[in-house]
Amino acid sequence: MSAVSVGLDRLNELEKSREYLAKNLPILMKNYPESYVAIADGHVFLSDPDLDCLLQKVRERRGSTEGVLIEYITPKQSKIVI
Amino acid sequence: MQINPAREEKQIRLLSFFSCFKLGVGGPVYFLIDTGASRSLLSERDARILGIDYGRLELQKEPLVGLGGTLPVYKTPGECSLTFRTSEQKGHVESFPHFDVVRVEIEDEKKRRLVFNLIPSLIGMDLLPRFKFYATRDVAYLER
Repeated sequence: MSAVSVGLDRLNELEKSREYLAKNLPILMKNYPESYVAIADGHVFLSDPDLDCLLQKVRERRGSTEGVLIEYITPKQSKIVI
Repeated sequence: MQINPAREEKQIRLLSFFSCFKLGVGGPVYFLIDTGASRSLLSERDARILGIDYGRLELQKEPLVGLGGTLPVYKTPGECSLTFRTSEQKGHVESFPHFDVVRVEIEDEKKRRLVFNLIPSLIGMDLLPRFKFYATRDVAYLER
């Protein structure tokens, strides 16, 4: 299997979660402010303010982070200047 | 061929599948499109999610310079690729001989945590000129 098909398969697997995140960002900002969320199959299944704690929980629950979109939820993102 | 970035408030981000064969890592990463960045880079936050070991990266002489100060930059030991999903639902790959990975080294733990959480991975001017880049009020996309 080529690199492009592996990458595309993984992105296709995440499409439902990507759409969920794009549509529900304002709600997530209210429900999970300053926290990391783990999204799979189009819904948040775990959250934690600490990334390492969240990664540990995800691995305990699913064995790996494969198929999981991990995102930091904060209204502060719009204030970043790089 | 079009790649459609997502417009979220004041940011334009692009979901890709980042992979580095030599590091044995691969996973989804959101990249912020930044025409002010000379190079693309991976944030420490995303490096942590991907499981990248900084011990296998090479520290660069030149740090990352931003408005908030400087941060050390590391280089991956080999080629990295970004796979994107096009508007035709096909895969498109862009390769890099190596990729820069930033590390947040700030003494004050509260500030370090804030910067760690907020600094995004960036797509900069090493990748953007390979495409036509359109950004209007309602839509944004890369085209080739």
